[in-house]
Amino acid sequence: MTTIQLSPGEHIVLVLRKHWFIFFTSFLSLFLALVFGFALFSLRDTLYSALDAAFWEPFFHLLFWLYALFLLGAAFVIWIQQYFDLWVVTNHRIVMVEQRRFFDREISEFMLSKVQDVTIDIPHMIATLLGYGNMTIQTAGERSFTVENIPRLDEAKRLILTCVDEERKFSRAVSNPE
Amino acid sequence: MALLALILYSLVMLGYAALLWAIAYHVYSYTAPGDITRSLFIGFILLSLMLAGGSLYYFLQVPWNALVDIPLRF
Repeated sequence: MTTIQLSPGEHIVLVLRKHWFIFFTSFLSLFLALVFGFALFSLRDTLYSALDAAFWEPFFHLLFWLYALFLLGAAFVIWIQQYFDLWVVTNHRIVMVEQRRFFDREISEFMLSKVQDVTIDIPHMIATLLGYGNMTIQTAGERSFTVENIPRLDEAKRLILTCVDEERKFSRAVSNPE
Repeated sequence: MALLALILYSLVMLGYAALLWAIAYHVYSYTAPGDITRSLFIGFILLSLMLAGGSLYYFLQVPWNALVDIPLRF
């Protein structure tokens, strides 16, 4: 990530992205739109009793290719919106990149030493079956941060808490060198 | 009619080119080299070129000037 500058001695421990099922559901609507477009395109022969095929046949092809082109563009925009929405956990801090819309990004971060509580939430049956859910981190600033629909919640929580412990030990060792 | 169709088609393609530019900006600004998004972007560009080429082919096949002769058979 070119937008995340690591300080000396800092390394990335964990990158949290959305579960594949969220990607799948996002792309499903586009797939259905493609199927719908293809179904309409396949029906064009029935119109040629009323329309001049010499004109409309290449015209319908043109429309269908343009439609497929814009669906492809939409698919990549969806990929960017989902894939660029992430949390990066380093050994000192957590950086949250929230890609709200195509040109709307918010990047915020907090130090691991500020973490007070980590809560995981598995909201429904599909999430339980596929093993994803939400994680909320409460910080000392009484502000909470939530990452939604991430996989391997228990592992992520354990890793974050381990990093928090190590960061606190490191901070104590730095402030009390005796 | 052909000129109007050409202008409209060019506008549509310009819109898509702007979208491609915006996507390329995101991909190369916010991903590290080796990220899967960069590989996907290459495939995306190739597929886009193929679809744009197909649309251009069919655009050239449409007898635009015949449109004023009312191609409907009602």
